[in-house]
Amino acid sequence: MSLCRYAVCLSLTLATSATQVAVAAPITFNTALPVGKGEFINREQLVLTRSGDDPSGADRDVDVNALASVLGYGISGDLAIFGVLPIVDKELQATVAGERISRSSTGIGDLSVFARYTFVQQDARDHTFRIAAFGGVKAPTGDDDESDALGRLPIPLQSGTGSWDGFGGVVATYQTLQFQIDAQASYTARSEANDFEGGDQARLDASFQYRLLPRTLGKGTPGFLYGVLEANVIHSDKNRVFGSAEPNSGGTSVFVVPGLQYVTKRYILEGSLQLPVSQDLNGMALENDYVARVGFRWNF
Amino acid sequence: MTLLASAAWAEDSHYLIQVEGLNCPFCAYGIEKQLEKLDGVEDAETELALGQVAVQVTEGTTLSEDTVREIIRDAGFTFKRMVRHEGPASLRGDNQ
Repeated sequence: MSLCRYAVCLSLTLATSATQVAVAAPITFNTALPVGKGEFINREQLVLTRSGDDPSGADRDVDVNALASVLGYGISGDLAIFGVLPIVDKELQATVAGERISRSSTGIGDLSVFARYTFVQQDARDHTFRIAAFGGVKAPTGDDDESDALGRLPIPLQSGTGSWDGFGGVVATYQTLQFQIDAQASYTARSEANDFEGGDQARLDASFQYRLLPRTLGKGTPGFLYGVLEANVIHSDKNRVFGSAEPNSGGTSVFVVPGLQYVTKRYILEGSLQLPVSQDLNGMALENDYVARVGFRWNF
Repeated sequence: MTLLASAAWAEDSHYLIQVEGLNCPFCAYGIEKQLEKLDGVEDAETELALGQVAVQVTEGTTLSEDTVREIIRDAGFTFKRMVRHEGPASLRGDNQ
């Protein structure tokens, strides 16, 4: 996101997604695997985003820490609904007129709710293949009017955006006992609020999960340790400020995400590190250094 | 849930339910939980490698295939078949 106001120009692309869900699944995006009828699944994920490498000369550093809580509920074997509510802590440091300044905010972020419907399901003894469509909205539940001594914080530093955004996409999953492949295409359409309109975002995501342990399946339902490798291609349009395109915003980024997952019947523990491979960003948009994730999921 | 009483089954009867599309531990929990809610079901355990769920039932209990099929479908998977066996559940040793 980007905004050049209040003396500090802030631009960053967050490699996060509101559609990260709670089934045994990729770490950075969705899956087509089911949430059983009447079942609840909760996921808690700590997401640490670090951005720097500032081309503007202001030596900007942005840290965004988010604890994203996801609650999923199965309406049927094919249809599930999800809610995602983050608590965010954002801090910008920059050098302005030779002085190092810091601006920050902490609070509840914007609530996302969405539904996912599986319209292709091909089950066999040793594999399953599914395709699901999902769509939802992000509501402006977070504070978008925080101020500090320098004045009102720029929108990317606010806990919430103030805007209603819509998103949707399609995800496919092929799963065997040994490995799982997921692929997703999604689009987020952002609306204007506070004279700021974040650029629409298109994403392509892929994930490969391979069972490392146990190497040979024994009796019962043992815990699985998966090695995970994911890739994300994220394109963001330029933001619009007071109706004009912000030249230092938007662009295309490619990430790779190595990670580990430990999956049992009741819970999943996971961690990953999202690393930029390519960041073709416009103007002086701030690049991501990395996004670290740790979390757990459990069903009840 | 529909549960039909039947006559004179031996103690420790169990069913082996073949489920298609079940390939991860996290997915097995919902099936076991719903099966264990049925009257007369003492335990449900999944054998992932075989795609089977073994359901231990009390004496005199008969599971309805329609009920089990519905539970598997609602969990997001496909019911293949189920077979009743007398004696305690032993997944690896049972044949379909």
